[in-house]
Amino acid sequence: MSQPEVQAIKPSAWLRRVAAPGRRWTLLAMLAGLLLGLVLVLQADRLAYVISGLVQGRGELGGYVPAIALVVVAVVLRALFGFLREWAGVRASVSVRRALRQELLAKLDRLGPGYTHRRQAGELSTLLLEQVEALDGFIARYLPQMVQAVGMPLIILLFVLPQNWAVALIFICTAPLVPLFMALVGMKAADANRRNFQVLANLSAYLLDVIQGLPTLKLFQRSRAEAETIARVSEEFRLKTMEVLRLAFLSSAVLEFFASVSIALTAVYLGFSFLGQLGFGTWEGDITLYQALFILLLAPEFYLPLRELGTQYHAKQEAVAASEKLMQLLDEVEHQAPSGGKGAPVDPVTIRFSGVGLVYPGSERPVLEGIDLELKPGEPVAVAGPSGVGKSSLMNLLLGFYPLSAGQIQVNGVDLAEMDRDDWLARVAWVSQHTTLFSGTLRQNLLLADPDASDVRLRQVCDAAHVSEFLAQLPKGLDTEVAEAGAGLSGGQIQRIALARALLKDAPVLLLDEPTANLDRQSEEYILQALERFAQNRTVLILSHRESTLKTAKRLFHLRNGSLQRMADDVGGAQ
Amino acid sequence: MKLLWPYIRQMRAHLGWVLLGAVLALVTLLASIGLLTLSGWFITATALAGSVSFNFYTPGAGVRGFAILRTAGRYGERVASHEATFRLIAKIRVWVYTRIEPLRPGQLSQIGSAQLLNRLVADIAALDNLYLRVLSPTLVALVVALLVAAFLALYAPSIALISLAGLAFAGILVPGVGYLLGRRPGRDQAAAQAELRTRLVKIVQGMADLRIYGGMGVARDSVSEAEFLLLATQQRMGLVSAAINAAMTLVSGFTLVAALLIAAQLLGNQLIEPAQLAMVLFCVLAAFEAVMPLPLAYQYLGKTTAAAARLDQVVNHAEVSGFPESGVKPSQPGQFSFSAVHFSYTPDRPALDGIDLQVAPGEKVVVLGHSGSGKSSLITLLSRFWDPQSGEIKLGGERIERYSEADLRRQMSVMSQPVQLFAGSVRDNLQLAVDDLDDSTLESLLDDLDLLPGLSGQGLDYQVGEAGARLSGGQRKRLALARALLRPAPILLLDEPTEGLDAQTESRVVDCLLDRAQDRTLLLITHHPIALERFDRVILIDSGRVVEEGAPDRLLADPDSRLAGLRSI
Repeated sequence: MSQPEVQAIKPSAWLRRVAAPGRRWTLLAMLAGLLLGLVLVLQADRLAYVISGLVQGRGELGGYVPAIALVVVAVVLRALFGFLREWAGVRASVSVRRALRQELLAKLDRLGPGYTHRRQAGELSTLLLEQVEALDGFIARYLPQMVQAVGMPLIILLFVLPQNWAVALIFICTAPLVPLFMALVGMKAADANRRNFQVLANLSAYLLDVIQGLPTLKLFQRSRAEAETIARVSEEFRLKTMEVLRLAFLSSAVLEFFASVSIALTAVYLGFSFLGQLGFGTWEGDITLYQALFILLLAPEFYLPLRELGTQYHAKQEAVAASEKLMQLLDEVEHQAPSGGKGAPVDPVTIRFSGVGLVYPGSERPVLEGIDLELKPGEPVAVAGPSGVGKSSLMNLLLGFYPLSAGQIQVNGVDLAEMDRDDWLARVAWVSQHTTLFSGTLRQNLLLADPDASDVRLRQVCDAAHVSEFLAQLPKGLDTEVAEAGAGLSGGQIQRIALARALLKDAPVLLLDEPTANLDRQSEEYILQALERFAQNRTVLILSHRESTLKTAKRLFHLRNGSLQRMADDVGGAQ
Repeated sequence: MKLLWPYIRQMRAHLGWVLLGAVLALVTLLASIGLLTLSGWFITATALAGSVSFNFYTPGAGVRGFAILRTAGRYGERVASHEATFRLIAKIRVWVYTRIEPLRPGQLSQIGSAQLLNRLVADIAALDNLYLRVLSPTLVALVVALLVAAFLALYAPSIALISLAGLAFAGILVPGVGYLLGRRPGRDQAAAQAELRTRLVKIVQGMADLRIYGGMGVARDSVSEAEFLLLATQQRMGLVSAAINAAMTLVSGFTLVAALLIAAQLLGNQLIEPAQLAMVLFCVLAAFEAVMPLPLAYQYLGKTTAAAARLDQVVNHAEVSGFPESGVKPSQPGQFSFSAVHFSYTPDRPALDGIDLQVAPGEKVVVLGHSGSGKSSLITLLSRFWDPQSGEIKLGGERIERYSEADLRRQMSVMSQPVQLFAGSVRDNLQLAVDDLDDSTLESLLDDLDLLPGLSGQGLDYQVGEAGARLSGGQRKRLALARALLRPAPILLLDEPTEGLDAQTESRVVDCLLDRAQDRTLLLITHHPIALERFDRVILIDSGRVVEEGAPDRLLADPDSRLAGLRSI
């Protein structure tokens, strides 16, 4: 878990860069905060003027109406600037998150399916959703507050110093402590907060582990006893955390102490001065009640922004934690397939794998090793093997989604690595195990393959892929929204739509990745029939572990421990 | 509020800490108000007194006392409230768990997928806020408001009234309106977030489709569109919250001005002394600190109530455990059978379609079928995680429904698919099966399964990580298999124990499991034919029915059998 020091510095630098798109709003938020501080000074000034005047019996209330009106104006302005500060923070956060999400999406796009197929979809979407959202508090509130925590004490000093140097000295003596406290708050409170969050997260993770594992615990007759374990673990967590928190809370107590003591010292100093016990502090003459009240009204505001910063520190912590994960994604090495490379061949297409190997970064064992394989038109080849042996990796290589670690793939004699990727993909149709239907209508999903296809053509492919049979039962046929149909479509029906899409693309190369997994017999038969017709004169590669599907191939290979073993020729004929 | 009641009740056990935390919060706040009030009075009084003799010791000490009280109070409050919170978390977790535990896994899976379970756990965590952020600040604000009003009433009843009104306005009305205004954007936000997630998952899952068939641009646009909606609702949320804070500033400011005007009148009529005027105004100014956290508290109240409502669905789920308290004992240990069993998880797709199957004590049986053929449902039903829609299942010679849960579980050891491991050491995971086995026994089993070399030399102490994340798929399988083999039960039910293993390891694993299952009934479920000759019987399943069964040698010798066909590939 422990990370090198260099890593610990990086996230904050990264966060600064990420915050750039919201800079104008962030600056506005900071500015509004400082204006808020100035208005606060105005309010203190007028209040002190009115109160001291009234108390000392200088004139009637009527004479103070302009000053009181200014207090009202100050209150309204404070509300206004406060509103502006918060609103600008929200806007900054929105623009930052929008820009970051775009950047991540673009990155994901460049990384391509070769990357996404090795990651969990849920995990990646969490990264793009929750982890980006985790920056909200940092951008919206923490950044403006940081400026406030330094700016507000400075503003107050600026106005108090001309009035009374002794009080300014009280403030100044504690002022150098401000950066110290920033660091203290930064480290200690953050530490407390982080541990606090970490502990809660650990507890939650543990509970999730137990609840998800309930079936297993039941099978082993352990589920009842687990309640005690949960209690025990929670108790251990409490003891450990409180030990840390008791120390960590000291930092906020120290801050509280200085905030209280600076008020108390100021009040005592002022009182004793009035009583003639102390004769220093003013630039000229005696302290006036106006000055005393003005100072006392501002004293609590001196430390307030700093205390608020402490309460927001978990926002920064969250952002740093998220940025570590986001940076990881942005730092992933891209496999840049050439664009503007050699043009892809027109049909017919012959594909030759020679000595192809693949090792994923960070792993020692090769997924594929020394693969030699030739794919010719009209001679479907099947590769069998249990899930997880690297069949999909083979296909990713063929599609150019991932770079080869060894060997070469040639398409009609041209190295695939030098071929224009989009041009090549335009020559390929595929059906995978899990077809994703995108939001929009079924028609729109089909038309991805050929945007200009006529209705007649659409009907043809729907007939061929046995889509027409269930289309009639859908409320609006082809124009049914996927979201509406989604739940109503079975796995087999979705696969038939995928097949129709592949047929519509009419490409010389057809790749099938477990096209019939998880299908009932009926759907499987439909799909195999349609495939058999379509496979003629095309270059076809089938990956499967289903016997009936494998039978459609002319040549059959078994993928084991990363290498291909020839099983039998013409499987269908041998039966 | 009714939804929250069960959780509030949990506080009774730790009432001491709860109250201590609240009292200390109150003391801190009062000290803070007292500090400013006294200071205001002190400097005004001394200014008016001039150098006339004045007892400055008492107020001076008071000011210092308040300052120290505030510091100590804050520290004590943080410690006490966190103590209380952690104790409550523990209590609530255990309570929720004991409500969920009796549910049958079938019911639990109806409640939701992993994602929903995740939310369930997050919901429990959200209840932590109930005390720390909702109840305590509300209670404290209420008491402070009343005490401040009582104090002010000693000097100026009219100012006490106007302050109380201002505090009520800022503490009840403003946050209340904010809560109501924020409810809709809050709901929209949850919906927008769900929509964005759906579209993100689609783009990630379907990236290969999008590349090959085009449409990446469209898909990215659709993500941007969903994101725009999310950000727009967040902006509305932000607007509400900024407006609320502005309103709080206005209310506190205007209350102060009103108090100032009244105080000036009172002073003119000599109803209060001059120094008291300053004191009263500082008191009003400081009192609003009590209500400042309330808008946030109301926001948390909304979230907490929503969390409690979702938990309520699970916790108060109609509990049909379906097990008799005391039942029969097995008359024929090791036997089980299915007759004409129909079963489906969802109405339209039967998993088992009238299956008939008998297994005698001590028999070693392989069930072969492709994924989706219904073979795993056999184990689900034998474990009574679900009950079949029709048909009869017998276990140990008796109908399966007649056993108590403990008697049912005692008869079988199950390795299910996917396997579930728990964070902790290898030993912890194995000890789920048996408590006190010496390390050498455990190690020899791991060795038989070829598991030891992969554990970085740490053997039984190797930490497997959350859900076994620090193990490879094959290692997880074998550890789960080891766990199942260790449990002394007459029936072994293994679902895909060798999936993902290479041929050599696979044969070693089969050796080990057959060796350890010698005196037991063994049912091994797989989709890929392994070492069939070493089993007594092979059963082929397709579409929820037995399509072929018999001794493996006989079936393999028959060229027309399905098994022989499978084997030739």
